[in-house]
Amino acid sequence: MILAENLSLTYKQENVHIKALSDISCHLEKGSSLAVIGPSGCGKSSLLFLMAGLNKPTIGKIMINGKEPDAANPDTALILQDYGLFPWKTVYENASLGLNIRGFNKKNQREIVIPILEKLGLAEFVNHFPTQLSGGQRQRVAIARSLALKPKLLLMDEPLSSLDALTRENLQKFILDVWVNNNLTLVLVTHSIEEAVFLGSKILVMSDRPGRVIDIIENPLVGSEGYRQSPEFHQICSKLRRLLGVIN
Amino acid sequence: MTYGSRIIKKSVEMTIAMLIIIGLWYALAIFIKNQMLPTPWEAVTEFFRIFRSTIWVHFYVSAYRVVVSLLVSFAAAVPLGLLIGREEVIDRFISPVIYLIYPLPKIVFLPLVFLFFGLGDFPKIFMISMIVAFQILVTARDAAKGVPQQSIYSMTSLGASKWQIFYHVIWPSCLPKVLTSLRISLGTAIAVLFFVETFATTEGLGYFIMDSWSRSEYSEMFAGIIGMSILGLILYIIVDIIDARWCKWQKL
Ligand SMILES: Nc1ncnc2c1ncn2[C@@H]1O[C@H](COP(=O)(O)OP(=O)(O)OP(=O)(O)O)[C@@H](O)[C@H]1O
Ligand SMILES: [Mg+2]
Repeated sequence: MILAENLSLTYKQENVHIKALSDISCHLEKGSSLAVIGPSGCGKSSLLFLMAGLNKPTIGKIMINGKEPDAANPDTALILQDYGLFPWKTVYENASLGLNIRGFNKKNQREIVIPILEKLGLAEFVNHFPTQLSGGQRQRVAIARSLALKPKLLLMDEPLSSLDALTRENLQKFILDVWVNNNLTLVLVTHSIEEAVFLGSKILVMSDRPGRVIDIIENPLVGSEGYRQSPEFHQICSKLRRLLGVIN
Repeated sequence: MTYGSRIIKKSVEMTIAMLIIIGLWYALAIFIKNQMLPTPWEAVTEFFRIFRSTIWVHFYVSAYRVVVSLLVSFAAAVPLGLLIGREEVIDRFISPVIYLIYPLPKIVFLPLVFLFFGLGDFPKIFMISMIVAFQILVTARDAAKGVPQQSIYSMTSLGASKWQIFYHVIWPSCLPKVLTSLRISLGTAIAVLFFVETFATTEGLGYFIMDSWSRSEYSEMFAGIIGMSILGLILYIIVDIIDARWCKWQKL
């Protein structure tokens, strides 16, 4: 599904060059998930933007289903941390925005969006504005908007980082269900070690800027029943801590 | 709070404020004891007495001039400002020009404007529009520049065209600031209106006020001032209503 070869990315502004990514290679099979973790400013979002086709690599190439990523591709959905929802649109208008942009008529929009909002427990909030929702509900609306387009690839940039621990764990479970039930390929950028292990069938560990691949960890038990409590889960967490230089 | 109760609350507040202003005016009129400052009672009676015969015509002409000016400047300045704010190439060419022209007191070109466009309504509307449009233009441009890149990315990844990004994101996110600038410009617009109406015209509240003054008809002059104030108040309320309807999300 995703194939990245020797990606490097340098941001050029007038006279400063900021090297954000250096020689990143990885691949991801259809239907699996990749968690990207690394220190702040190491280029995680930049890597996601390359996958979303919002930016082009300076060196190297990236292919999604054998094609260069294109921002307008309806098979790819992107969820950004803070700016995904528009405060001037209601929950319903936000959730149907993608369909609206792609020219679905009003009736079709309703038929697609309402069942999704119902499934995500947002049915009673359709006419609310985002500021009237909790952080967790807002992220569910952002997810609803992406799912409405029936994407094959879902890219998420720290979707849960502004949430409290309890909501966070609930939504991790929720994202896991979304991933499994919708036959998606998932790429998730995160700051949280537990989250990476809970959601990534592969975990890409990045170094300080410019981001390089420190390791790619296979995490085959992801999604299995009671995984969070299992010894394997904690083993992988410890390994990640070591790789990221976090001292226990 | 429901919409209805909010309106009632606002009306009560405004009535109280009005009473305070009238009280102060009354006290001042008694204190000064000069026929140039009639009591509120005299002024208001005069206002209603001559409303249908004279005030109304002048009010109508003034309202026409200022409303057309505001509509024209809004319609021209907002799209242009948003465009300049989002398109770097255009910004690079136009912003230096704006920078130079913005601080100029454009009212000093009034003689030229009268010279080029004659003495009808057009030069007056042109003058007010030009002054107001600049204020709105600059606000719209800066607001559009402030739209986070992330919001644009979100839209692009949903497959949005440039036009769709303007419609769904740039316009609604800048609207509150644009309306604020419109509200501020209202004061300027009416001040300019008053000024341009004191030249070469026999219609409009500005003319009426100055004419009454020269005839030493101070009650009439104050009736004109009341008319001008009501015009400003109505426009202000209209902007408030637009704000309440279009920017509902901001007041939650
Ligand atoms: N548009 C840009 N122009 C110039 N430099 C940029 C741009 N976007 C990011 N950078 C730089 O590239 C580096 C990587 O940024 P990026 O946002 O990808 O990091 P990140 O890993 O997502 O960080 P965080 O975890 O804090 O979100 C940073 O040093 C940043 O300053
Ligand atoms: Mg980031």
